[in-house]
Amino acid sequence: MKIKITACTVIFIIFFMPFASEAAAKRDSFRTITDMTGRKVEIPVSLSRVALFGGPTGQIAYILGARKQLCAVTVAIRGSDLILAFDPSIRELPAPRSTSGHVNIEELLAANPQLVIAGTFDGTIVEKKTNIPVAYTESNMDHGIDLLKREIRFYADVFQKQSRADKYIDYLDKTISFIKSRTKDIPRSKRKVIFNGYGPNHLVTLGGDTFMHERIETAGCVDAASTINSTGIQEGLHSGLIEISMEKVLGWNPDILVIDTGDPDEIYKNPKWKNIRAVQDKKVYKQPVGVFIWDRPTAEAAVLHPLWLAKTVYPERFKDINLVKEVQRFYKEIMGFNLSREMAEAVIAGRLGIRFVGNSGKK
Amino acid sequence: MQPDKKTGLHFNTFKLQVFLVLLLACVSVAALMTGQLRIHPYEVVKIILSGIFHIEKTWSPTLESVLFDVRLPRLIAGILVGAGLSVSGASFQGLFRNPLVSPHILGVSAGAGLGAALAILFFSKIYIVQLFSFLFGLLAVLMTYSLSRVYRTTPVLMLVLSGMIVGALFSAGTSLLKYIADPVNQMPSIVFWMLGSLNNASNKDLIIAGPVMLGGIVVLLLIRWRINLLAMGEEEARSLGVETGRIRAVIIFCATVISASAVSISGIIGWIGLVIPHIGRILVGPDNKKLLPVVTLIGAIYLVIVDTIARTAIESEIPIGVLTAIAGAPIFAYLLRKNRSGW
Repeated sequence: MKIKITACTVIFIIFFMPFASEAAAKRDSFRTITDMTGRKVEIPVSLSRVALFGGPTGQIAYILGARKQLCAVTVAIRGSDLILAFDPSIRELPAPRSTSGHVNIEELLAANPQLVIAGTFDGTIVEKKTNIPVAYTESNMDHGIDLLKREIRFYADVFQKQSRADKYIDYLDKTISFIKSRTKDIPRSKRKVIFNGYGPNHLVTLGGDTFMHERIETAGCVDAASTINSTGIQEGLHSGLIEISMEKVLGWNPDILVIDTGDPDEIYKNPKWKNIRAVQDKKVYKQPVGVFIWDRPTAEAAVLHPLWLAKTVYPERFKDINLVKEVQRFYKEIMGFNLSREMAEAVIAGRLGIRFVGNSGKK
Repeated sequence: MQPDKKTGLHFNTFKLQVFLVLLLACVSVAALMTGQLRIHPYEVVKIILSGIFHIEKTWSPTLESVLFDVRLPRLIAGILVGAGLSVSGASFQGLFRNPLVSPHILGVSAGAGLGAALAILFFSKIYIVQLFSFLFGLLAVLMTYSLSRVYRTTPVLMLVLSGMIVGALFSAGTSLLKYIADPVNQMPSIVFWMLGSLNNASNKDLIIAGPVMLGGIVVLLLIRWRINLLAMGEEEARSLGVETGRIRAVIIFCATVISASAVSISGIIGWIGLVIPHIGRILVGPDNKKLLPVVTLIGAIYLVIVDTIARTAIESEIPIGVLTAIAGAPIFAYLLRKNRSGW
């Protein structure tokens, strides 16, 4: 009898001890964060396995020095030429999210994350199918600098890297106010009109209600597409992009044309574009590509894109600025990447690519 | 299937054709006058005439560019694509003896879609996209046609079935490419292309695709009375000494070349090739001899109107594939209700 009771007690203790200790541990080692949509999320204090789903924000881990805490990333960041040059080990990480709305749940579960950080669309899918906690980011294409700063601070809170976030935000603020100090006295009438013509037909653009407007204004230019609204439109999967007619471009007659596909020579030869001022003045430029393409609301582009634009459009006002050196300085100070001269030049010329599956380096 | 005098409104065909030609002329002039840029109609006339006569140039080269590089090619492309898709649709409906058939039934648009997606993925140059979509459109129909000849008893049924098989295969290929495409640049380009637009029509495309499409349309119009014979049914036609196989091949060839060229200029524009022939039938009855010229004209008018809306209604482009259905469906429903015509 006695033996039986002892045995029962032992069994009881063996069975329930781990639960008791786990419950205690749970109370101690969890903290509550508020995500960007205002929801409270419980996350472990020692966060070592985070899955990042937000397309362009993958670079945040490098900016905050939190690369070691990632357990899953996106295809875009894993295929970035620039990232691969300095962190080839990123290749080993799984990328359960390919494009918006496509999440490979099994791959995600195998990565065993403690937290998934994602936009509304992907986050909802994860929450519906798994028990992994999800923190939502607020990401949209009107994403101005203020929202970007909020986003950086949110990530900093998750990864507990506030000082790195401060460093980046300080760098951003200094760069923006420097550019503005050089461009603010350009009279309205002398400001160059810029048009971003994306896609193979160079007629897809970002409307005046997107983050791009702010960058163009910072660089002291006039946004040709300022009357176009495109943030709500989901055509072609990317909110913010919209197709406009050639006639519109002829009407705006931009001084500067920025393309992301093909090369300027192809436009110089196209009779359809011959009456555009930018083409007559040979002021068609290919947009730079860093970790990610610069026409997206990413941390790197928020700093470097307006600087590139200002220097390209008003070289006489930025004579003392060496763009190659500025690019090298940004990636070294903020992300810890030592870009060679050639690599920095490749970034500026838009020669770097993002290797997606089945698209080996073609850009 | 026989021309039936009791159905349809049966307008006097000649008067109707004259009216439609005049309407097309009016619509075209209106299309040239409207656009995102406001140009005074008088100026538009002067600039257009300067292309033919010698008039002193008092306007900026931009306006000239707007008319000669944007509006004129778009107008011509609209006329050709609208007319071409409608007449191919009507011919196919006669050939397959089925009112639900559109020019895309044999897989031409699925093929063209895959071609365009491939070109966007690997070359991202607009003329390669057009070339690839044309070639893959032809390839898809060629595959359909060869597949249908494996089993020789009921060629029409086999053609439709083969078209479905080939279409499914090519569409799956396109979906796969969309899945692996770079979601940042290429993916939106593919989606924009699939939605269809005349925004990319240029003079250069028209010099190549224009004569091809025009040729196809003329051939279909010339052999239109033979389509009536096919509509009687295989056995009957053959007993009258008609070589059904050869006529079928000619119709399929013409319609394919037309639709593949149309897709290469404008992306995939649905609905027109399916519904315009029905509107034509309501007006003149099912006799292909009368039907095809009328359908050609209505198709051209319809697409020019819709494209004018697509490029002027809001500041950005509205995908024309969306508009053709939104504008066409109510008209079609109304006409169907009004005239209970056989197809």
